[in-house]
Amino acid sequence: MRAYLLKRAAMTVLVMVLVTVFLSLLVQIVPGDPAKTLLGFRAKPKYVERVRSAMDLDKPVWVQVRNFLWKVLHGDLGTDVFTNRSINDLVGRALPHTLILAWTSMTLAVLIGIPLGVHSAAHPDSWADRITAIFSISFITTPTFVVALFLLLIFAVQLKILPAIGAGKEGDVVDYIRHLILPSIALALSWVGYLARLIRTSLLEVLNETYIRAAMAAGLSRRLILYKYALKNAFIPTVAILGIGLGSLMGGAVFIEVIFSRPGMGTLIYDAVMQRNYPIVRAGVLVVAFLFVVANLLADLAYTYLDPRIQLGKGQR
Amino acid sequence: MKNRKCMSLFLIAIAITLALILPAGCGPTPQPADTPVPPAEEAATEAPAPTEPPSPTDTPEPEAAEPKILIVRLYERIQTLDPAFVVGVYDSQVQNTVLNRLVSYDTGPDPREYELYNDLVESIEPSEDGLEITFKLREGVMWHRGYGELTAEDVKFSYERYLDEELDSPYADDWATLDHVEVIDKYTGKIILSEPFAPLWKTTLPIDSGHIISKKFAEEVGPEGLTNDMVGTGPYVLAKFEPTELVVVKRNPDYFGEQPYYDEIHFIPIDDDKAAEIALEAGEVQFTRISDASIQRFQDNPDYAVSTFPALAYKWIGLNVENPKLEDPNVRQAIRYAVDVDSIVMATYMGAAEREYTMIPPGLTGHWADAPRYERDVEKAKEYLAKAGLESLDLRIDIEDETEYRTWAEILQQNLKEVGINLEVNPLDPGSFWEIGDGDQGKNVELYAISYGMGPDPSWATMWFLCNQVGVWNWNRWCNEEFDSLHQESVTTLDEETRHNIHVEMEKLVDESASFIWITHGTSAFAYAPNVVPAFTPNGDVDFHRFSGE
Repeated sequence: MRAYLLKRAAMTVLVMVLVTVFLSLLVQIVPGDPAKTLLGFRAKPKYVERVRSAMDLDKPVWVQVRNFLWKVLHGDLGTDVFTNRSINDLVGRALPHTLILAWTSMTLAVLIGIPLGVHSAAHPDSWADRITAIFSISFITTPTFVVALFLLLIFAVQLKILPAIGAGKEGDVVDYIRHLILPSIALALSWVGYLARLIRTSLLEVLNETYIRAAMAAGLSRRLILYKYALKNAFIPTVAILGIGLGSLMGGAVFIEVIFSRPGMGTLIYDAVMQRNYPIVRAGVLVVAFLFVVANLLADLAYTYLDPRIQLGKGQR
Repeated sequence: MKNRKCMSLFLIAIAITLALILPAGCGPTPQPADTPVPPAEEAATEAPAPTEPPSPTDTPEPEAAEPKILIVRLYERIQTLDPAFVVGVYDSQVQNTVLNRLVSYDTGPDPREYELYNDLVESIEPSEDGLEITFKLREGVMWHRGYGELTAEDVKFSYERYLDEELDSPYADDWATLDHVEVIDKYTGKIILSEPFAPLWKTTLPIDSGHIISKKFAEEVGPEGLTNDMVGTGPYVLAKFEPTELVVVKRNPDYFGEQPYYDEIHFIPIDDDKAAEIALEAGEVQFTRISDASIQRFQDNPDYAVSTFPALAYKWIGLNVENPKLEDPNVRQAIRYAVDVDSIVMATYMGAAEREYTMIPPGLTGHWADAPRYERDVEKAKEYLAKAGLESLDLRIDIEDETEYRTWAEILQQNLKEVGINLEVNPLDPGSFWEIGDGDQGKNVELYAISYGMGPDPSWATMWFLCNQVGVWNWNRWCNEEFDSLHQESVTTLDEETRHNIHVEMEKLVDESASFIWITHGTSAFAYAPNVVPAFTPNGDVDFHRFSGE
């Protein structure tokens, strides 16, 4: 296990380095100059040069990568050239909002999607199963931002019962939760559908296994078989998906954060990309990539928890 | 037994969610609404002692009335609080509430003309030759947060910063001919210019580069500190500065002028126009800029008030005269006659904006009212093309990938097809688009669609089409020495009528080049709650500190 964790840690470092190299190369390929994008005509050649040099853009890629990683190792993500704010602070303020949003959405999706899936699998081809199928597929196929706009129009504009924008007043937990409801539903909905379908399929598969038949023959109650023996095995592919899902939710959060004007990582990175504010893009993407890797690691560790037969790091997967 | 494991997974999930929410929600201690607190911690500790509010027991609140709060949208997150580095209108809009100038433009709900009023000065007078401007400050104007009294030294510091090569302000041009500011006594001073500078009274003193900042504060925090904190003399004090979330300014009880109507102004950054419109409809902001396409919808709804203004901008289709395909003026004439500008304007703005025929918008010095009005004439276009010895031609137009320019390009494509020109439309993201004209790569530009903003002085528009701007912002790569010298003449001429004539001459040269197809000056449109009484300049710049309510 320790060897496995060490290997994963090494992989994480490698991924981080690759992401940084890739982003630094991207800067060379993508047209657009930060100073000119931001300042328009007011960006005089001298100022443009100054900004480029402050962003390290005038240095070779390997120097950029080295400088950046060296700083990251010292816990410093850099400074925003235009506002002189520390990027640690910017990310530190934005990250919790996105983590909360992604996590709440995932929790919502799990709490709703899995029971739906189980119910469908337990009663295949019943009317409830069919309705779940229709809704699941509609949820999966409707783009997140469309759901978001509908929710906004219904609950914020028409009914005026939930807030439309922002993350809520600082220090007010109730207000924060109120601001979380619509975005997290919008983000969760397609995952509800996805998880319901996924659980249903894998559960049906498991229910055809011989050990389930054996259990049935032994006269165990259906409920016991379903929840105790079948669901746990059906869970394993879902856990893998959830690991990646958390990463993809962080990506989906970009749209949601822009639509709901939530000050999260999505908005931060989106603005930075549009302005070609490369240090922020680099730091933001690095943090998200890191979380993605960690989420996957946690998912892998969860396998062993759910199925002790799986031994990580021994090539038996 | 095993079921408990599943259960515990869910419990852990819920626990993590709460653990995440609680610290974020409770994070920094909330600021009580009625104590002005310096926004940046560093500044708070270093700020010299106190005009900090006395303890609550000393000053019993007269009445615990609800503070009047105006919540407005900023269309991007604010970048800086330093007037010398303003990036967009959203920066100025916040700065305007906290800082003052010597003179400012008057604003109102429905202004017609640009008029200056004395802001920080009791009097201000230029010398006959325009080289010396003597000002006398109001006495007893106090800086926020205990930074003492406003003096002529502050004015000297604020303006001479622009000459500082080390600071390298992108706005140094606003003070192009400033020599120095002479301090005569505590309240009096002289702005000394090396050459007369006509835009000074129009786009320097009354706009961003005319803002006066506290010398003491600026020296204390340095140029970096000024981006994140601001000490002014204005009607509002900066109270909270979280650029990505919320900026709050609160009433300055010691303001020298008339007290503003609102106790607080909250600026919320919302990038997307549609999201901002939803926020307005949901009642979460009271004032926002709206997209041209939404003007009608809000006008039809009695729950909102709408104001529209001819914008201080000029939008055009540019033709690169250095590109081999376009260097023959006949080809450019052919394109100019082939385009149906009226259709472009109608299809794009649906009645919200009018067609333009010149660079300088109406109402400004230098607007050429008698400019030729080119109408679509396919036959004439074909003739010009034949004169150039061509029957057909393949061209490309580079545009920013926005509905507005896509609509232009699609109509243009159809129009040109009829005269035998195949137009390829090349949509680009903003970052890529704004670079196409750079240096030698700008030679490859063929057609492009673009919009430039300007200040209320014609030289703000013409300065981008000088010969030295080829490869910078002059993407037409049209270089005309007469145009250049007329521009220089205009900048140093103080007589308005002479300047007007100079600019009309310049517009004629532009017209002869046949390299600009003017589309519109555009519209600035705002929607707001009906109980808000806004304050605008004639071209729709917003002065939030002069807003009131009903």
